[in-house]
Amino acid sequence: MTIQKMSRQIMLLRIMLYAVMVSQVGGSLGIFLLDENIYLEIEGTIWQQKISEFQILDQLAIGGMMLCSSIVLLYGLFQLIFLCRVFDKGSFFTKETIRYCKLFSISIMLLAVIETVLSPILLAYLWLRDAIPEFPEISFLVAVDMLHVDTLAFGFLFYVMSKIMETGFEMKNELELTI
Amino acid sequence: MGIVVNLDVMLAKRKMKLGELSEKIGLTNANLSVLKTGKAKAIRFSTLEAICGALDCQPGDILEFIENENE
Repeated sequence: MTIQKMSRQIMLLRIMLYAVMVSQVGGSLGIFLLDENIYLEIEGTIWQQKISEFQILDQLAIGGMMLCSSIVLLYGLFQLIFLCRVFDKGSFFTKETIRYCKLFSISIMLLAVIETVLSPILLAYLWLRDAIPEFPEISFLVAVDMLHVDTLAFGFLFYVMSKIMETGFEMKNELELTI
Repeated sequence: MGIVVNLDVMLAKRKMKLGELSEKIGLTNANLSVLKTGKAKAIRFSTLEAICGALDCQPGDILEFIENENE
């Protein structure tokens, strides 16, 4: 009964992970396929332009930035899928599971750093190539939003949790090896 | 090296087999093997007492401190 319950929970986790993956890839592709507008606040007014109206090189830069974040997030999600595989084998509190949790947390922190760094770089690139009329005004709130502190904090939280699990595992190991 | 377990030396001196000691003190062969090969992280006083009693020796005959050259 408990095994069936566990299998169902692992399956639910796996389905959710695949759903997040599909929505992430679909979301990124959708922006290009639906030719969405890019909005920027320039000189107090909202400036907008369709992605297809940018030059090919600029489109590649925009796509590249989105691809970078997606790859890092997908890497993190794959770690959780590997974690599900280990759970399926009946191992829950092993070095392997802790390693996957740690890699997931690192990928989330990396995602925050990449998104923080890439947005200003992309804006500067587009501005230098005259793809946008002016460098957009970045208000305090927008700057805070661009820092992705929440994502970084989420990744750090997971990292601390995986470190606690690692120490707990060492303690358990030590206790098992006390004769 | 740190703490070295000389259980095998004491067993040889007393001409006793691991299985025999295991039967005498009521510890599994696997656990004694872990202790003998130096894989154990800690040893309980009760275990040490039982081993010393069975082998008629002192704790110092079983455990030895060897200074680490790297330190």
